[in-house]
Amino acid sequence: MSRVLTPWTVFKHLSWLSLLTMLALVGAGVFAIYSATYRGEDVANAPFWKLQAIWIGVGLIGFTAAVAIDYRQIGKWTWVLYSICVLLLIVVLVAGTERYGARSWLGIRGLGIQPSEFAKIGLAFALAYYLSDPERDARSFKTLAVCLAMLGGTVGLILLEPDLGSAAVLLPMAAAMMFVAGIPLRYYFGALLAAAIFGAVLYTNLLGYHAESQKLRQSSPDKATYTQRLIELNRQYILKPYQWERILVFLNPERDPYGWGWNLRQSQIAVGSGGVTGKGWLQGTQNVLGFLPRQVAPNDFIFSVIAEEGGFIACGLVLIGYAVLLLNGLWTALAARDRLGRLLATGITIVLFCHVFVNIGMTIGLVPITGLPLPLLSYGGSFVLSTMIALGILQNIRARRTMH
Amino acid sequence: MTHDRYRWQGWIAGIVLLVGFLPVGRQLVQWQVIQRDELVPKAGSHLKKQILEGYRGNILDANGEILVTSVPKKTVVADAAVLSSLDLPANVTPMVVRKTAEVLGLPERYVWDRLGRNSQYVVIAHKVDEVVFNRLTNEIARLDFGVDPRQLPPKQRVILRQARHAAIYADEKDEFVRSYSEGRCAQVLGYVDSNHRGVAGIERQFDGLLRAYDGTRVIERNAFGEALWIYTKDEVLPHDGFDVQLTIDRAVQRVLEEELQKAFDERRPDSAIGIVMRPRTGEILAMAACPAFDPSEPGKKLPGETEIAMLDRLRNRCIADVAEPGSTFKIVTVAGALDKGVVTLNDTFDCHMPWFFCGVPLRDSHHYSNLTVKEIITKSSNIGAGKIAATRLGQQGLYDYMKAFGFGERTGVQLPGEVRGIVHPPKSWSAISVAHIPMGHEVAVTPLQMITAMSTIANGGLRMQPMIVKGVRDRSGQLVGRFDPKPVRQIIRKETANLMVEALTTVTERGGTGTRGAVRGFDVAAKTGTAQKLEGGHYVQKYYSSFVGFFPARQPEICILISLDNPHDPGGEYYGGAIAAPAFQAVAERVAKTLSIRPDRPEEEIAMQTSRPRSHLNTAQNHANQKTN
Repeated sequence: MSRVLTPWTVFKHLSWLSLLTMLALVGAGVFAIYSATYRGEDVANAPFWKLQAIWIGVGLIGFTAAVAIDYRQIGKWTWVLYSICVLLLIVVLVAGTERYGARSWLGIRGLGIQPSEFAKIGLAFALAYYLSDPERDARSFKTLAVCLAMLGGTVGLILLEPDLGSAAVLLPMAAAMMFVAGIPLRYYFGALLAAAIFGAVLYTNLLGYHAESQKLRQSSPDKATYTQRLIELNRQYILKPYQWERILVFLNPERDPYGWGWNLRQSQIAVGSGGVTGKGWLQGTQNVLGFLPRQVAPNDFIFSVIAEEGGFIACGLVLIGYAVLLLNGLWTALAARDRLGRLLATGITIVLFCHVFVNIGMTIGLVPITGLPLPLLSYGGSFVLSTMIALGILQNIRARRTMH
Repeated sequence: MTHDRYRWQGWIAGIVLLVGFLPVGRQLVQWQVIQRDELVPKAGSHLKKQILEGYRGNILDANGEILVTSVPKKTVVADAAVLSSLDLPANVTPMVVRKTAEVLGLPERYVWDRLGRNSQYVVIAHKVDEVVFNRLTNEIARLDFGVDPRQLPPKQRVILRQARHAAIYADEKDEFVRSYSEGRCAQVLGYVDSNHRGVAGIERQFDGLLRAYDGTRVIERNAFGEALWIYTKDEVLPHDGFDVQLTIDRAVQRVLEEELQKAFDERRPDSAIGIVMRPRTGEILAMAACPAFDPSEPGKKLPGETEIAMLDRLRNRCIADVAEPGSTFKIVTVAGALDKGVVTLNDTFDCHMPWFFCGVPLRDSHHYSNLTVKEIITKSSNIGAGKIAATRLGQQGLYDYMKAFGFGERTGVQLPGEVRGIVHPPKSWSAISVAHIPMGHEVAVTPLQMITAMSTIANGGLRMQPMIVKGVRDRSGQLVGRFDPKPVRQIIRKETANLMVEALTTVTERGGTGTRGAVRGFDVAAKTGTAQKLEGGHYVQKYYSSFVGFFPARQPEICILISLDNPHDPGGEYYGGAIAAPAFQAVAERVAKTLSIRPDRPEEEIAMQTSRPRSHLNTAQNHANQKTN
């Protein structure tokens, strides 16, 4: 039987480097959000930065709790936690608030939570707990089927909102956890094949959409009619017109620099004009003047704000910070005492990685624009809270790695 | 065994992580280091230098009334990028275009064509009145697009707001247009070019004072085109031009122009010139030449007009044109002879016609016998004037007085383009010049030189510097510079001047050549002039008719010159006393009233109104009757 850990022992085994990194990033986030919503000396700033600070406070409580309670104890409650997450995902579909075309919020504006953020942790726990059961035969088809069912259910519910980005990050997370758990590689080849087929269908679709949009553009008397007809295309393709447009703009930034390509174009100007040393806090014209649209500057495009005002140096520091967190997660996974810890750490690290890579990638034009926020820096209460809880769990696993 | 398995898994994970970070770093270097210089101006372009415009100074009349001022006009601009945006409801742009075309009075098609260029700055119309522009923006703001903006997604809401409030806007730099009250005084005031630089007249002469110097400041604009804040530390305030105050009296100018136009229409000369001067000070109260031009559209040809005729209208003939003055020039001869003491008013000269001087005959318009010097003036005898100069004054004496009266020299009035006129020195004279010059031939003078000479006599022989600008004021009306009347020097003795006045007064009295220039209630000292014109070295049947005089004769307030170049009078008249004198009379009577000049014979004026015509004031009387009727 394992020894009971004193708080002191846990405290001693914390990764101080990653804890400080986390605090530095959320702190920087508050400043960046302040700047992203800043409109000039004589204009009252929106309260986003204060709300974010409050959520960080809440996040610290969540973090402490996630460190303090042995993850194996939490593991015993996995099914309860997972059920709550699924339940919330269902509730949000019924009673959620619709915002930016997605029904992903519970509660009133500003204080609402996004169940999909917590579902990521819930699914990670569920998969880790299920796969870490010593009785489990990783090679059996049943194990695979159960895992895919849990994954599919969660992804499906999130897609219904719809929140494509959040649903998408669950796939690499689950894949990595299942891989670490020893699910045979042949299944991965199957998954790859499925992905390739899906990709091909998507590509054909894209070509079809592109051709049709070109035709429409030529046949429409003016741009307004063109847009109208484009929107009416809706159901014939897998993705919605705006999603296609995001992809097409990604592939060809000049396609529509004042329409769909606006955000990317302005983001490029913001990042590029920041140069090596940046323009200084509150000096970034792109966001302060609203060229980087105010709806997205504090959350999806917070990295552009930092890049413009802090320059390459700040970007580098941010990237180093994430590298510290991710390497710490990786190391935690490798050094974890048991399968539960290892799988959990793997899942959390992969989700974190996906968020960081996709968000930064989209602001600098490496991937199409998706609504994935940047962990710890982007404005968003639930996401800060869930990320800090996830980092707390990593610390938890790490601190208890040598205990038996 | 498990240990090894996780080790290589760890390596794979680490490599994936690095592979993820490498393109991120590469792209950041690409944008922030390599493409930085190209992207910085795009972000910096929201910083904009704004021109703070200064006002060009006004030109005021003697009483401070505005003759010329600058009026701001708007340049209406459209943001075609907004109006052709994909996110606008389809009916918005057509409605905005229709309204714009309607309010600005443009064809709708034209506005659509302009919008064809997909730019954020498409000029729709220039020089639009501020009132019209405000009406346009108000009406566009009130258009009902049938869309509830609250139901639109944020991006579309923003663009709809832009289409409504910012798509049709005015260039922040106003375009100034010079505005001329009544369009009078055109040749004196001059005009400006498209850069607001004075090209002619006062506008040119005082361009340095009138001109405004623009200031600048840096403002920052947000994505919606709104000015956000202003960097006051970089602000350079504009410098407004000074106001220039003329000696021109708007009321007198009006009288002069109206009467000149009347004479122009009646006598049909090639051109008509008029100047009103105050002899005591040399101030020019009015100055005009007919035909004139519309100062708001200089250089616009009248239908069927040649380029040269158009340019002729632009010129200030009062200072830029010379002519042989004819008999008005006799005042120089006689005044010189009297001043030198070589004649008295009562000396008589044999004025029988013809008089052969050096074998060349000189003629008068009538036959005279013996005339006194005074009568030579009264009758305007060429022979008499020639004899005075040839036998008494001498070549050098005549030349000295011509120079003393300022002929052959610029008067120095504050106007550009003044010419000297032509006065030859005696050594290049022919033998008969001394008899020709006294009657105003073989010299070329400007109307301003002529009236200045007459004013010198009126002012007791003290020549005053002719002046047209009396002060410079700043924007608040504070006087910052003053031109005082400037005596040049005593040209003839005061006693001589008095004798001259005595002689000249007879011109408008019974038996004089200028009776039609008499003014009710006033003694008028004047001289008529009728010069045959010289074309290609020969005198032709064309005349230069003029009349210059001042009143009240013994306390002169006003000196007026009228000249008609090559008149085609329906009655066939061409003598200065016949066609220029009535115009003088009309101007003088109205000016006397306008300026409330105290008449010499007030009781007579009252008597006149109840009317008993005096024979030698025939024309004046008829004129007065017409008025009282």
